[in-house]
Amino acid sequence: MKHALIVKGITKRYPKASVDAVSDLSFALPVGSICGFIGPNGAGKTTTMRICSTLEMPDSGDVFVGGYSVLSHPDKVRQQIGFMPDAFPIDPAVLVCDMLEFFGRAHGLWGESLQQMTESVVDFTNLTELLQKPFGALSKGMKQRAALATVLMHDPQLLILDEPAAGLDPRARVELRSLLQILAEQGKTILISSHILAELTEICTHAVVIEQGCLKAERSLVGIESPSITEMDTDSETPVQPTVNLYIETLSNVEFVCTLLQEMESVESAVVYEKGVLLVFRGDKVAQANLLKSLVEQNVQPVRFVEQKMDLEDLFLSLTEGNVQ
Amino acid sequence: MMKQLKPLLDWIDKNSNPIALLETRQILVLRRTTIVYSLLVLLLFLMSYFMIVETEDGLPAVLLGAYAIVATLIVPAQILFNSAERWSKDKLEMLHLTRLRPIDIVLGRILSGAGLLIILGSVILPFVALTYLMPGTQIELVLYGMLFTFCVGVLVILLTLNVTWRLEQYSFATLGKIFYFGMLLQGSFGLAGLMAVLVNEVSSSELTEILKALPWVIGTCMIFAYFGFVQAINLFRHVESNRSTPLRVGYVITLLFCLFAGGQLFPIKEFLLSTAGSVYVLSVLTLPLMLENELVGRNVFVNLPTAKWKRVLLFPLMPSVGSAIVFLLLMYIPYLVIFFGFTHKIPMKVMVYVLCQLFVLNSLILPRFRDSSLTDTLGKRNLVAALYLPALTVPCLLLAFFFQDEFFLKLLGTWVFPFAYVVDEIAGGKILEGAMWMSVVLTIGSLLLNAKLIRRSYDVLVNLNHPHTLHPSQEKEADVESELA
Repeated sequence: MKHALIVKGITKRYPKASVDAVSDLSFALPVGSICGFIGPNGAGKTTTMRICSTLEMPDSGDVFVGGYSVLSHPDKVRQQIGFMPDAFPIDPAVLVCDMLEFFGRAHGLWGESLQQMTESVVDFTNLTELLQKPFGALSKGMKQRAALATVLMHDPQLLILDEPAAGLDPRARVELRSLLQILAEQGKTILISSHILAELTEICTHAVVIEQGCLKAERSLVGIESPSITEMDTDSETPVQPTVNLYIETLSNVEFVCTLLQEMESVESAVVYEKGVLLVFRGDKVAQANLLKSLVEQNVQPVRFVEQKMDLEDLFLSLTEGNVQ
Repeated sequence: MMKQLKPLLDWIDKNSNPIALLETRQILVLRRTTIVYSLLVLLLFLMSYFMIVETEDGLPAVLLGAYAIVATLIVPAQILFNSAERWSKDKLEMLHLTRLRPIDIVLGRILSGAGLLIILGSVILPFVALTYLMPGTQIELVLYGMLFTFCVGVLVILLTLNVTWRLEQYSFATLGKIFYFGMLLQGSFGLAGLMAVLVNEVSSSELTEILKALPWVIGTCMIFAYFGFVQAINLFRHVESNRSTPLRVGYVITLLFCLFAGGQLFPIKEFLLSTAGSVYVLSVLTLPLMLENELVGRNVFVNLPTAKWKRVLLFPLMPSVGSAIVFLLLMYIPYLVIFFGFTHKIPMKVMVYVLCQLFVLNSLILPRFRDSSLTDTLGKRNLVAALYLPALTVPCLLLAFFFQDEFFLKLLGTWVFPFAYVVDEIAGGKILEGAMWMSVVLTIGSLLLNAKLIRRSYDVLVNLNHPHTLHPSQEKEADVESELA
């Protein structure tokens, strides 16, 4: 599997800070995935994103974007990423068209290539009618679209978006969501942090949860292959099993079933959720059938056994023990 | 015609600086620019009218004064209050993700500033033509004055870029801007006054003498411009870059320039002037040798030469604490060479002694007091290093001036040059040899005392053994994807 982003054991401590902002963090994103990057305030999300964007240097570890290290080839990494911070810093007096031209030129475009790329980006983000307006006169949703347009001017393969949906009304959020989905379909990889977890569930194929700078979980939300970094370091000859999220409702004691499942080798994690158990299972359909068979043999009475897309809010709450920001 | 021009237009389109384009476009649409331009035209018209018709005197001085105020007040103020906001820290960070290099950012901003200077300066040009009508006007002087003012204007623009960027980092940005604006106001009127004196008071014979010094003045301006430029680039550098080599090279060039200029310009009889000048210059110049990160960060690995022999050769120029000391040692070599060539001139000896003292203070004494509350941070140590010689010399010179007594000068001399006096006695009047030996002893002493520090820097920068992390090249970047497959 080709990875657009590999974060490998990064640690960062700011001067005069008593704890690490990010501590030995590792995860990887397959090409074309949309990854929700979630964690409480101060968890280290922005620091990680800034390191991935070459705006900060890790104290140890490394990040690879498209195979290039942020430490040894930061210039090449910069050509491959588009970073959109939570508040995109654009002078309110500058016209949208001027800023697009500016960023295009700053990325080395000129002449017809600049014109074509501007037209393409303006068309994609539906900014045609806003081109002659200053940034200060735009609504929050329009500003985010314009910011996304400037980030897309050099056609980056990896988009790093820090809280892009913050402060947007529902309509603007839907617009942004559809834009991101189209970008992912075009093969771009997107790392997106947001406080609105329900919003992320709709579009994300992956989720990375961090707390206090440490990785809490790295999950696929659609059951596609998503080996974690530790699994990637194992012997490459061993076939990697797909990870799926299963929900099992039983007539038996839920706590007992949960403990039983946690002891199983193919179960990565299991938590009690409503009347059943929510678990992350590694294995194909045959393995799922064997799991069900094994439960029945141990006198568990399953009444519902479904594969489901994990709700990010549930995942986040279960992993951070309800410590929502 | 357009077809013939197309390659040129394409070249301009391809190579135009995006920041200069955006800035200039923004400045031109500002109503403030139009108002300032119009007011300047009106003011200069009225002044030249009254000067020609009513008094027939002083027009060139007024024009140069106006130009000085435009170059060192109006344009920098425009940068201070306008473009600083446009390019605050987070905005500059976005530029770091583009292909723009720090030098492009600085050049773009200088070009836009210089562009504004030319636009506003063009108001004055038609009036300069009037000076031909004025009897007795030394047009060369006016033109030299304009050249000098332009150089100073560019320097002030560079300084303003640095100041505005730094002010954005602090909570007193607004107050700081007001203070700085006050300084600009004072400086620009000072320069305008100087220009007026130059044009009105200087005779033809004096002009010839002044023009002899002009290359030195322009050389000094260029050195300052170089430092302003390098400092500005350092401010906009990427996080992985912490190279200070251009600064150090600049300091060596400056030292050589000062030595040469001092030898050429200052006769021995002006001993006091040259002493004060060299004390001031050297105290300022050696300060940046302290401006280094105390710890060698992981980011020093970026773009290090891959061949070890290159790293060994470049070690003294690499960024670290130890390298600063070794670099200082290297600075001694040209110093000593020059010392032998110009030793008959007292200012040279003065500079060597002063440098030795600062060397001792910076590299031997101050770092030993890192636990003291007065010198526990790099900033405080820089302050102590910067204040050391001015704090010694200024009171002594003032007391000598007020009491008209040489005692205070002798006191200063005994304190600042004690080694020279002692060695003079021991060496039986051979001051030159004494000074040389003193330099050698101090250098060896510094190397011995800081051997551990230098060894650690060498280990990190040459052997690539960082105390916390591995060099990125040791992490087998190419293997990562195959590892993942």
